[in-house]
Amino acid sequence: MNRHFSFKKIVTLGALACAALLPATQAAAQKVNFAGKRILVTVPFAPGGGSDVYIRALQPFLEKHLPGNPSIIVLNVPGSRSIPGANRFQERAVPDGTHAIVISATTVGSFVFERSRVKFELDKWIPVVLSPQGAVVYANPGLGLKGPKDIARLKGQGLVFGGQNANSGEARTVISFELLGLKPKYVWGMNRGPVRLAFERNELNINYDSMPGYQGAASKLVKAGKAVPLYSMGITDSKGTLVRDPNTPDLPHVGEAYELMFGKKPSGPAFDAWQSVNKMMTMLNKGIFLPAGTPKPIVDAWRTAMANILKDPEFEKQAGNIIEGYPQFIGEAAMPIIKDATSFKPEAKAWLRNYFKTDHNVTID
Amino acid sequence: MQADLLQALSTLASVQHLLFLLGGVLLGLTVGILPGLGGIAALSLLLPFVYGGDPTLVLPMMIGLLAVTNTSDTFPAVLVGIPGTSSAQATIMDGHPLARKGEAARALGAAFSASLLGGLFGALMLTLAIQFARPLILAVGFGEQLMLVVLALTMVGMLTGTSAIKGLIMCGMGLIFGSIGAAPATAEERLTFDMLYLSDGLPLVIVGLAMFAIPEIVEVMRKRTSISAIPELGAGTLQGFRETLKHKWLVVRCSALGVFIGALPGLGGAVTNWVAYAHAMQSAKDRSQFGKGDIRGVIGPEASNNADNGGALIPTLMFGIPGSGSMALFLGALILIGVEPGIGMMERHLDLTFIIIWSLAIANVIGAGICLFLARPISRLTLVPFMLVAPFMIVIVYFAAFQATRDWDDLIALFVLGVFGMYMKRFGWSRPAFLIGFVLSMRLDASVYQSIQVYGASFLQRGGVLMILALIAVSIFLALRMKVQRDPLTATGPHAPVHKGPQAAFLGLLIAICLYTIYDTWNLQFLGKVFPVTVTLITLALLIAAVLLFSRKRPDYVFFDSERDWTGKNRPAHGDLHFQGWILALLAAIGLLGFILGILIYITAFLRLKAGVRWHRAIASALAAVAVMSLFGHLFVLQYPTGLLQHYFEMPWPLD
Repeated sequence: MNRHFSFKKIVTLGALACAALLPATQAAAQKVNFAGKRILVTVPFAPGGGSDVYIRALQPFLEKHLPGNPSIIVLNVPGSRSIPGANRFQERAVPDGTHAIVISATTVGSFVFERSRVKFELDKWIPVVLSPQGAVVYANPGLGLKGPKDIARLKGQGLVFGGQNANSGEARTVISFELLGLKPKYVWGMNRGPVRLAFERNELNINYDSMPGYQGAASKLVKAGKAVPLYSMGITDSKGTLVRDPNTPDLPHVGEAYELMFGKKPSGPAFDAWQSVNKMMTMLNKGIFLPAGTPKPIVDAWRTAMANILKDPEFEKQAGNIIEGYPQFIGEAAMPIIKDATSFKPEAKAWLRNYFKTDHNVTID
Repeated sequence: MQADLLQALSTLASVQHLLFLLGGVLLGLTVGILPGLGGIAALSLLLPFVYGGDPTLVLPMMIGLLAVTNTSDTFPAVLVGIPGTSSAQATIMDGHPLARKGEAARALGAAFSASLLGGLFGALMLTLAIQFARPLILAVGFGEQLMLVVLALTMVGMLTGTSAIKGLIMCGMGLIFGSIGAAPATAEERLTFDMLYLSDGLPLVIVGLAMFAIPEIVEVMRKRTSISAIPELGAGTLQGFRETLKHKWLVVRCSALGVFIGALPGLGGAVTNWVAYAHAMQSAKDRSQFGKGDIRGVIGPEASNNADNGGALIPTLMFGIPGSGSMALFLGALILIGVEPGIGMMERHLDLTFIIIWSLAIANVIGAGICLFLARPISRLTLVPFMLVAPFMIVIVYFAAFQATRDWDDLIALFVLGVFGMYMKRFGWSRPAFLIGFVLSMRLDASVYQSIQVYGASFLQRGGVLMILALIAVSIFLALRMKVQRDPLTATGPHAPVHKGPQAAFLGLLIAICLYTIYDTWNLQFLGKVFPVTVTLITLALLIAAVLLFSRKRPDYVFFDSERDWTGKNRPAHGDLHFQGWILALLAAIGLLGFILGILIYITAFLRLKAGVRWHRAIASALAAVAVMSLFGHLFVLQYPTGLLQHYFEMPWPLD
């Protein structure tokens, strides 16, 4: 046997080997298999909150539809508007499909408004699915209105609104008030539950709830004549136009409420700013992301699993209410929304910065 | 209505339902014993199994779990002085001194029977409340909430210790420490040193462990004895049980307090047990034994913290508003199983509501029964030489602290505050007063601002506000009238003005904290700074008064140094710093090697060097701890702190 290979021979053999391996790796990659693996899903919020319930509703179905039926472990890292949890995910997540993160509007808000503390690159992460979640604004009937048509009567009345703070999850509602020329007195430092109680006690007279809260407790108040729904945030359709929320087809969206108020269509930097914030908080309300650099086949496996979950009649039956009525954006379909929500027009950003500074004394980056 | 009530009971009375309930109870008891883990941890563990399950099976399991964490958390509180959950902090005050006197079994017997009765009372109140409480809860507006927080704060008056002025200063300190984080009105950050960790405030778990666990562990280590000063267990569990029955009205009153405070969103267990403790003191004729092992100081808080669950379920079920952290999770779980709590719960899910109530009652009986049964054998722990137990306790305390936010900063905060707590204990500054201030701080700040924002000053004219105001006056009157049992002032005792240096340094530290607070918050908006600045100025005025008393040369209760309590042969071989060093050593070991390897080295070294155990036994014990922690971490999916080793090298499980 000739043990002396020439350089040329080695190169040829190497190239052949590579060529032989190439389809093999592809095939292996297509057969992504998580059998026996534990998949760690970071939730940068406390257990029991909206994002936590969202992933826990999906959990058994992800286990069923991801190849190899891995077990899904939910890891809650709560606190500080989800910055520590998301930062830690950025730092530690391995891009091999066994690490994922659930984000919410708050995470996006931190990413856009608190640049100095954010170490995570949300715009580089790879979306699996985006789940929009709308919200409805309602008021006390004692203010003299019976429905959305009377919205102009709110002008000049002593409105009182409660929430956590101006630039957190309430931002889409707070800015909609500004857009509509309403100047409520703000009572900050309150969570949603106590706010609804205070509304029921008439201590607050205008309030909002995200769709599950609205369809649950708040709709009972509406039926009992203790609340009048006024408008919804609306959602963005595939062309980027603001349309009514599919769950409240009878309620005007913010744009229509503006028309009812002022008799013309909204435009200008204030409306642009609100639209960007609304994309951030309504369209990007919940989502599952994989770390940057996760190989394409693994990403595809996740996206396929998610698509199959949405088709699964079991999911429809058991957990349909988690994503109720909203279009879900899987994979590349999510990209334009993420881009819009994380990049503001310069004039809109300037307007927003000025509004927060002058009306709420809050500085945003 | 009665038919539904009985129907629910008969549903529960099947083997399958009882097994689920029992499973929940056992899990709840386990996490209750472990400091740092409570209802929240166990419930999030259950959630994946809850999903899509039959509500009549899953609800008993979840309720069983939540009902008993406040029962078993008494074990570590009484036996080692470590709160098993934050609802057990007040139990330490008298429960642990009882254990030190060799009466652990008696204290536990009283505690568990009080828990049992409190829990049943809570379930009864919940049954009544779901029919009547709605208007009551709606009557508690911003103004009433503010007054209730103030009322809770007046309980400090009962807990100031020997020197009233020092107690009030500590309450002020608690309010200052509690205002760390985002201001409720303006979301501006206060006292955070620009650290993300502090922007949500200091975690309550850490403050509780630092104030009680660390100082207690160090003190017993310095004495180099077992926890119990007497080498045998005195009067038993049954005597404790009888004493609870003897104080039945105290049980009822404290249970009622527990239900009421539990039903108010935002206060919850961490406040309830202190209010109940203060009430037990207020209502007692002879207060001389409080803080030294009065059984009533155990019965009151234990009755209240189990009744608390019944109370917390009221807003959870009726309004869909969680009354506490674990209730928030329970609410999430309800949504996952398709039960929508809130206004319609009574109409649509009356059957499930009654299943919840019955489960609460039965779980309390089973949980307390198991604990009573185990009380005596587990109490033997207090007879073991403490040096053998200490390293495990220190590891558990660090483990518990890390569960707060799972961040390295948790461990550092624990150490720093733990040292602060040690000196508070040594120099006679009331730790309960500090904790009450800490727990109520944000609520007080928020509700002052919210009441004034909504009503202006007119909130003071509301009927409910005036009623609570009258209660506040009564509470202050009782506090002023109270005579504290104090040691006589002598020229050589702990209250003597000799060797003032260390005490003066601590006093200086407190003044420095106040000055820094004013410096830090001065440039905030008015609404962001008005609360901390006001509190700090009052505290500072009290501190100046204390300094004036301090500068005099005759014995005064403002002086205290427990170091002078150690006389003659009792003198410990090592000072404070020695054991601070040992506590810091674990931090260093974890920092270098990560949690699992760190505790292996630490426990081995501690057992060998401090307890004189042979090498092979020390290593075997440490390995056992490692095995338990690893297994536990795997089962509960916990993350442990990592060290430099893990930073540079990929480590296999469980060393990762």
